[in-house]
Amino acid sequence: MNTLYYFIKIAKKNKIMLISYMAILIILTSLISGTYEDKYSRQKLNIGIIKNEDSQFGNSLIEYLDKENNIYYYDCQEAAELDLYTRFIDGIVEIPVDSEKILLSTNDPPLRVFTDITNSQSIFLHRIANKYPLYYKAMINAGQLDLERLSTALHEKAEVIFSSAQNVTEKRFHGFAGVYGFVVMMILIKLLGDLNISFNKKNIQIRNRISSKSNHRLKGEIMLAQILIAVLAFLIVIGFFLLVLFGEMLKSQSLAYYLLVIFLWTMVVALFSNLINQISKTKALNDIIGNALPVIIMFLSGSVLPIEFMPGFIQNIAKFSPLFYYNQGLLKISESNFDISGELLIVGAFGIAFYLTSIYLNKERKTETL
Amino acid sequence: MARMLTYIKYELKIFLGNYSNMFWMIAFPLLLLTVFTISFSGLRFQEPDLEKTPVAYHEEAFVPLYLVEAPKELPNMDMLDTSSIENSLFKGKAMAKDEALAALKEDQIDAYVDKDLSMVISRNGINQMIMDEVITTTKQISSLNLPLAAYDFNRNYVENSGEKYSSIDVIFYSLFAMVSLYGAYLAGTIGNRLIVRGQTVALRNATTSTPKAWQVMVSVAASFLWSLFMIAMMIIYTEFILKQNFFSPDINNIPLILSALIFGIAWGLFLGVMIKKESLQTAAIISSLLIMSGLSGLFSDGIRILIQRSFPLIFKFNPVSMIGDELIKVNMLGNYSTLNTTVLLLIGYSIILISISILHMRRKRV
Repeated sequence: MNTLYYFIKIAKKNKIMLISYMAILIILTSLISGTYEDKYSRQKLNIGIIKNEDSQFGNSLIEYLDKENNIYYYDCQEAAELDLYTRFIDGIVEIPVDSEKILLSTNDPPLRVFTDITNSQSIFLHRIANKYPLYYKAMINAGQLDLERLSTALHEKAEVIFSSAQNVTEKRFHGFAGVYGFVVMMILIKLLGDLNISFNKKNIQIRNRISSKSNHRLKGEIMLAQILIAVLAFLIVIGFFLLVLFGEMLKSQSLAYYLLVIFLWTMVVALFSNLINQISKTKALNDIIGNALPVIIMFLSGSVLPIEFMPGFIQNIAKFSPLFYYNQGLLKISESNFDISGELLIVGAFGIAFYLTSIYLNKERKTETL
Repeated sequence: MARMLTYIKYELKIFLGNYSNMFWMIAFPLLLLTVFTISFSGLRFQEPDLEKTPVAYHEEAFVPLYLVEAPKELPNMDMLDTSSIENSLFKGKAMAKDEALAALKEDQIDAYVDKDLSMVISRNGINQMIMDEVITTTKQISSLNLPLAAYDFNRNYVENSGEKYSSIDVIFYSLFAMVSLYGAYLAGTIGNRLIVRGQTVALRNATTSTPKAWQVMVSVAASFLWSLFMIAMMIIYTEFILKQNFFSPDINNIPLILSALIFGIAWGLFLGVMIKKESLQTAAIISSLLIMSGLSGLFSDGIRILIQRSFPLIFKFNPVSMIGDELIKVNMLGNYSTLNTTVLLLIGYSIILISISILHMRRKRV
């Protein structure tokens, strides 16, 4: 009970940090959830315009592009180059001097387009920009130039039906579980680390030495408290998200599997924190490890970027990270493949390894002290 | 000069004497750079793998789809094989709707075009956008109701200049920009030495015979040298160890980096003078640099774009964005159009911050 009391005290001390981590969890989950759509959305293009001519053709072209896209004006290509590099804009359309004359009296291209060939949206811009002069010239050729009619025709759109068998809430919950994987690491390493450090204070150590309780029992109690704290963190965070944000998941068949993986992961993180506590004995070092290690593991385990996009050697390194198997388990569940025993076993094995190593380090340290 | 160097040596020794400072000053940026390189270097200048969109269609949709890239002289349409179609944009097979929807679910095709030219998709993406555009164009041509001979489908109406760019570089350059402001950490301690707020070091400095200008100069010189060292270390680590090409040997980098270093020192001096508590000073410097860098794209290039669209003024006057953008322009684009403005603006910011700090110090030093 004393350990739990200390924990509450430490949690109170770190309330700003805890609120920040919860905010990170909510923000990242919302951002990821936003990428799962259940309707067709034609992404707006961001187009840079360099207008060197004030003609009927140029103005009506800009009006057309402006209807369905975001338009940004620039004086010259040099001024727009950085925005194209950073993808603030997908491409630049330049209306050169005499563009209308070029369109009507020559066979040369009346428009110039600057694109980024690494950006698929940018490649798409070429097609959009090519269409308008094609229609404009066709109307002139047919002797029927009528901008209103052209504008009406450009309003014609394909009817697109979005058909998805997958449940969007499940996809969103999958995104949340992925973010939970590394945020819970940050929370538990920090909280359990501070808890452990508070027991390393000189006066508490002296009291423990003269206490009738054996050192073994004391360590066991601290360990038990750490596990209890991890269970509490799991219940509070998952309970909050399930009840407030993912109510629909309560009916889902996959929820039990998700909860199993998430719970096991939380326990493994608690054991991992215990191992870190055997290594780091100061608050500063604990802060450094608590901030840096989850970030590194997160990048190396495919939590930020799918592991397939990473170099081969990183993909091999990822196999040594328990978070990688946690992510793999989540991925399988999201694909309705509930055979996750392999992933659970590996994650569990990591947990046992962390526990055994921490016991070994604890013994080593005790021998050194004696 | 030797005395100055000794002072600087001790200044750095005291500052780097604890783990926390060592981590934030050296390990943290190098760690971030390494992690970024491992994660994102493969994405730099990577072209998307655009293959022809796999589609299925109702047999009655064949003709409009065929006409998307029809040959100059149309063949006898009745003689054409309508079971499959392929052009530069898509390849497709005629399929019954149920079969096509099953194929769509299993991601074998990206879209199904029905007889009324409506399109069924199961996810959003560039292939779906291309098919939407194809069908939309067909509908628009039909709506214009002009003779087909009026259209010159073979003429190229757009002269395209395509370049390879790398938007992910924003993350790296935000990090470089943040490191260029690292002088702020050391400069943040100047206020504590000159304003007596209860610290013994300030009391000692106030009673010493060493002039205050000399004390300030030592701290400024140490901050300057430290941030210069950090920049040099980052460049060497990036170019020679990580083998990533981010810096070109361009002389225009010098005024930009120097003005960034000066701003970093001015920023640290300002926060150190204005904030009383030492622990709060460090927290303010770390968090302000991380926030400015975060807004500039350190954690995601998407955040930068979001800020640039929603709060263009914050983005425009954020010093880290200014430095990061200018580094991209100089090193990646060879574009110097805004270099002078940026350098002058950074120096202007620094002058304002230093002036406020001096005025504040003069009022508070006794």
